Amino acid sequence: MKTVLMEVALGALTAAVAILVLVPTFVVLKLLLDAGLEVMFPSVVVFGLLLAYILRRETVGR
Amino acid sequence: MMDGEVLFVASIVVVALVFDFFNGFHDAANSVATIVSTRVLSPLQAVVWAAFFNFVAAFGLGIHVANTIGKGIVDTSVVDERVVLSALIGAIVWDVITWRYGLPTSSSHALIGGLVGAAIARAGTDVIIGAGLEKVSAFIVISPMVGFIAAVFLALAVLQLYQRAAPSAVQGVFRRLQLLSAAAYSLGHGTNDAQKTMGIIAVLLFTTGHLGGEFHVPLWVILSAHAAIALGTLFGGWRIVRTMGLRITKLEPQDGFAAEAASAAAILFATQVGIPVSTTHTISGGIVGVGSTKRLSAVRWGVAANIVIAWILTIPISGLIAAGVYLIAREL
Repeated sequence: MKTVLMEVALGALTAAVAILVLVPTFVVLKLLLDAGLEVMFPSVVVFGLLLAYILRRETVGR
Repeated sequence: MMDGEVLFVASIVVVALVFDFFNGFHDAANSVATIVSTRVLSPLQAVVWAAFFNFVAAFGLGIHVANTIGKGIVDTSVVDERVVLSALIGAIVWDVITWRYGLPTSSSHALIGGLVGAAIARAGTDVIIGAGLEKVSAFIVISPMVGFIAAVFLALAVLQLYQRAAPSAVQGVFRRLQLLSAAAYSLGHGTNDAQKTMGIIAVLLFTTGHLGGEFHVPLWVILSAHAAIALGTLFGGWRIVRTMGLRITKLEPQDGFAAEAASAAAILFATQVGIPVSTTHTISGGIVGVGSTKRLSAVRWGVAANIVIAWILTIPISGLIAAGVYLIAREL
């Protein structure tokens, strides 16, 4: 019983964290879309590639 | 004469719903790939779960994407029964080819490519609405990138939150949470993908004078499109489940949750702003994103590269097939 309650509490906490991460991400995306595709397209692509580069550097050798 | 025309239009509506069924069959496998590969649900339970949320998506999520497909890609004045039928045949043929080879390409882009190809074959390139096609084309790149970025952020947040937790506790929590994320993804998939078929049927009914003076999507079209995609999901394509869930990268339940939740958010965002995106592209970006947080070499880039090549070819090839079908149909 205690384990189940713990899992439910952790699940609720994780869902809250997911909302805290995803909502700002999509608010930024909406702002970029409103600014036009010519702004959104390069911003998203460059940021994605930069993120991939950072992950590659940080995870090398794992 | 009038009866014959109505019968022809009704037959094309049936073909559109068959396409929608195949969309479910071909694409909706993505909805259940991660949940099956992490063994949260059995394949049968997973497809029933996904199909239910595909259908529920008919209610309350708007029809912005249907409007974009119906009147935002090609000039409606050149769309007739033959153009719609050719577009559908082009998309179905490409879907069957890529399904045969287990490539998770986009049925949505195949449909858009088919529509563009058939319309060009009928009346030349002037009938293409540049802004609409440009937006759809841009999102071929943007949607998987957004899936990737959002999944990376979410996976890193989860990693921080559970860094001191026992692996058994993590598994227990995420096995339950993945049910929610898979439901959200299926909801997104249902609404964005079914709306493409709705758009095609609505533009067919509009241009053949069966919708009255104003373009709109009737309720029976909304419900039948969602029913067709949900049925397609039930009969899902397991070749693609294997490619998505097992071959790109190995997934744990927390990875499946992050990939699905991030992709669901990306698809629901695109749906609300009326952009038809590929649910396949988006979940692929999400899966690569969570794989990349472990190590970039965890992603099987050879498989990912084959998928990208198939993505790039989808609009041109389905367009060419549709144009060829239209040129033949015109002579009949």
